Amino acid sequence: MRKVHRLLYSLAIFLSFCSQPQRQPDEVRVRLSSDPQTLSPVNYSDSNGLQVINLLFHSLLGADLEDDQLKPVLAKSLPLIEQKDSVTLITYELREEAEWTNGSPVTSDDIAFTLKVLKAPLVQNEMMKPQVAFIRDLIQDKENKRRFTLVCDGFTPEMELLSGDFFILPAYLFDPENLLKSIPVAAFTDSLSKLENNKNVKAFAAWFNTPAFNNNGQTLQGSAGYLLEKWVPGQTLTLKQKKNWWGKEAKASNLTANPKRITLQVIPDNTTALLATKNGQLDVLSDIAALEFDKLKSNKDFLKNYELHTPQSYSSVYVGINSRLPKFSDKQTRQAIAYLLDVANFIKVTQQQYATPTVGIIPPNVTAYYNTNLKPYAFNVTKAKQLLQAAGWQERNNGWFRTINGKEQPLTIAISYKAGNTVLESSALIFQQSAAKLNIPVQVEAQEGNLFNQNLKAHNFEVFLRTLTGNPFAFNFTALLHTSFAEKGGTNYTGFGNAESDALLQAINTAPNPEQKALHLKKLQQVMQEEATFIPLYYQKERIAIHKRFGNAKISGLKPNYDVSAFELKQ
Amino acid sequence: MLRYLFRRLLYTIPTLWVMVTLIFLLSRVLPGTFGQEQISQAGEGFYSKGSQQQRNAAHEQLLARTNQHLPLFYVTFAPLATSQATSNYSYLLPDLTWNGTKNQYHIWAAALFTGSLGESFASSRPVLEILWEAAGNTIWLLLISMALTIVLALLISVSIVQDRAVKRRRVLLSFLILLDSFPVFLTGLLLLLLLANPDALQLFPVFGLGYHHAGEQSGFMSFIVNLPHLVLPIICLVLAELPYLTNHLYTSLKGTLQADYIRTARAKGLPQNQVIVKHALRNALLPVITVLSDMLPALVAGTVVIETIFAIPGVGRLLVTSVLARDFPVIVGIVVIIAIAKMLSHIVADILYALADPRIRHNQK
Repeated sequence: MRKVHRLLYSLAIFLSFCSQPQRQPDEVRVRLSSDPQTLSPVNYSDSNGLQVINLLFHSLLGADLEDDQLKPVLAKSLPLIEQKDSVTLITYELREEAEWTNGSPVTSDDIAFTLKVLKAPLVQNEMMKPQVAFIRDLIQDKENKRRFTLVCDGFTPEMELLSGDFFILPAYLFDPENLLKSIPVAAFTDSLSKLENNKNVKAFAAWFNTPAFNNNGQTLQGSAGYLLEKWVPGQTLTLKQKKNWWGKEAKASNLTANPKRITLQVIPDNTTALLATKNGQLDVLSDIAALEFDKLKSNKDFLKNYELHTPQSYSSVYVGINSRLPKFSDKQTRQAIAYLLDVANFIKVTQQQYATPTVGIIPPNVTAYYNTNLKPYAFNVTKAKQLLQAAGWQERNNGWFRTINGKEQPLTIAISYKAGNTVLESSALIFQQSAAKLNIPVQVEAQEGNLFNQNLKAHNFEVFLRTLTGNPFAFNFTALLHTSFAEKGGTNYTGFGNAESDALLQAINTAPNPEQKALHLKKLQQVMQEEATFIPLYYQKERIAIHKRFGNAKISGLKPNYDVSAFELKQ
Repeated sequence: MLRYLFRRLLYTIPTLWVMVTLIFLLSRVLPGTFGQEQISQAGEGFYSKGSQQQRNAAHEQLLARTNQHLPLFYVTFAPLATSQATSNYSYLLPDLTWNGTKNQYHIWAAALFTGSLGESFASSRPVLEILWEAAGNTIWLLLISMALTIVLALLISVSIVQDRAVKRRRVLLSFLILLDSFPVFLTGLLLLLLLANPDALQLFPVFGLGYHHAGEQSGFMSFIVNLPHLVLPIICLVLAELPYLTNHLYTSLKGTLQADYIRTARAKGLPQNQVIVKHALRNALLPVITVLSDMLPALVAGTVVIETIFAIPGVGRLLVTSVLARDFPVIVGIVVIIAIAKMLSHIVADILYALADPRIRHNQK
């Protein structure tokens, strides 16, 4: 009996010591699903890394999640864009108040330095390098150290966004020996083979390609309102608010650093993250599974402390059909497949209704460009049957057959998707069942991520299911839909397009005003629907929970779906 | 004994080398390379970040910087189609190309001789440093759970092997069979839902290894802070391994109890407990030592799941992330460490055999 008592006492002591620790009210704790690979502002490759770097560094322009608009961040205003012959000149002026952690001002020297780092050979910059390849040179205003002009090759509608969408680095901290100062930006644009042997570039690469520029809070200090206090790999990243940060004086709604401390807690498993939120150990949880989200909506205890949000995202699920294959080369067969995609059921089963069906590639919430005159394909077996018959397919007891190139071929479909994505897996299985109603055998293939992408590039697929992430700023679909990208290795995987659609894509990019652009984009949606090669199914809704003690969360469909730096503690 | 161990260690080295070489070569056979997917994805979407040519150039720069542009091994097999085009029937023989020492394997192996496992492609940090950091948590998890599993398996086996414990044996063995049918992830999730959930019992922290604390903590304080976080993962690993080990130990004990010398011990009037603990257990342990030495890989496999569910940064999770990112130096580094640990566990098993059975010790001499 004495032993049992001893055991009970020890257990009681142990359990009391296991209780949850008290939370600091001015700390925001956010969940990350995985550790960022790197925090290098010129070589980040994942969204988690981007989320953290955004709190440390600024770019010239950035999305304000309040209204999903592109707004000046380090720049004083949106740039002045001039098209001259084969080049585009983009002129920026930096904010007067903008300064680095040591109090020195952000100048055009820093922008020039950043471009050199982004373009330099030998340096760890491969992820970001292609993005700034169109910038040929930077011309500094001799009278105003804050004004400069970017000289860019040609013109594309996304140039404004791209010219301001890279993190600006402090030259004083990243290149204290001024190794790159003597080399002009233009030298990094032409052939880089000379620079590969340049002593200064080699010395800079050796200095820069070290872990300090990937994970060290002493080095990774930008102009944003936070400093990296601690990074315990695989566990937590802690950021602390800068004292006397210049952004507070700037009085711009998109320049914020309100919480004193932000902790990003790495929790890979969704169930664990949800339990941690229920326990009050997390303040923000995004990407909540649809089924769990529905349960939370009716959990009164949870709703006492947390607010739930479902912003319309810019992320869609689409089906791609390989139109190069003889059996899918005619549009009626592809349309028949489109009628067998039970989108309403996909949304019901995989998204619990947290999604909006779409008629085309433009998100339904971008109302100016979304074609409301079209109706999305609805599941219709009769219509699919008629279309197959019209396409020359004959129905027999054992399926559908057609003579192609002198040989009789059955209609079979292999649908592939990236393994591990349960939403796509369920959708593929639903499609398999739907097609079975018309006696069409469907083979469902889950493929490892890299293998799946390699197969798409090699056109080694029949039909695939995939997600596509967009934005409300730029609509240049050339890479996805132009025939010049339909070669092996290109990004037009489905083989969509002809001379007419290519001309339409060109017209979208050169449209002189938003009205013209809207007209062309609506036409593109109509063409895409008719062709049924690239079939957008629906746009997802994000599912987020945020603790009620914070206000001004700036919920948005743009990732990460909230602006943690804007969070204000409610009184 | 020492000489025997030294000889075992010497035999281990070539086995280890072959194993690691195979892992090095096979890991590179995985489709895709580090960063390839991310660079190519920049071209897809509502606008393209750079042209295809620029992205290809960036990828080539990445390959060159990480030496992935070099041939994989000293020799390369030419694809069959190429051979066919150049010779008649000679394509039936493999067409080999000698690459010299400028190959990925040579560079990696040369670095290994200097004690370096290379640098992570993702973070540029030395692989050894990354492994040391991750292994710190995994080792604690493994050692504590292994020790607890052994102790519990011993206690349960001894208690159910006794003649009088028929009911207890039935209940415990049935429970263990049931437990064995539970996958680790399910046990982990159940423990979380039952013992770290405000809707049920909220006794333990849900995730990680402690929360943010300003300033540095002493080793002891850090251990105290981490301990409650380790309770559920340890319980989970113990529950995963307990049925297998207990079953082995119980079967072994039961067999030993049939031996003549046990009958003699009983005839001398020794109490049942003393017969089991003093006479039977030592002999029963012999087959169990083999099982114990095989426990390590099973536990490492278990930690992959446990570390993901309980958000503990350890070797298991590191391996999964590295495989997904194609961070080859880290993948090979982890396998090298696990292989070394496995080899060492075999040597430890040999020592334990010798300690458990003096006949083995004498034979070795």
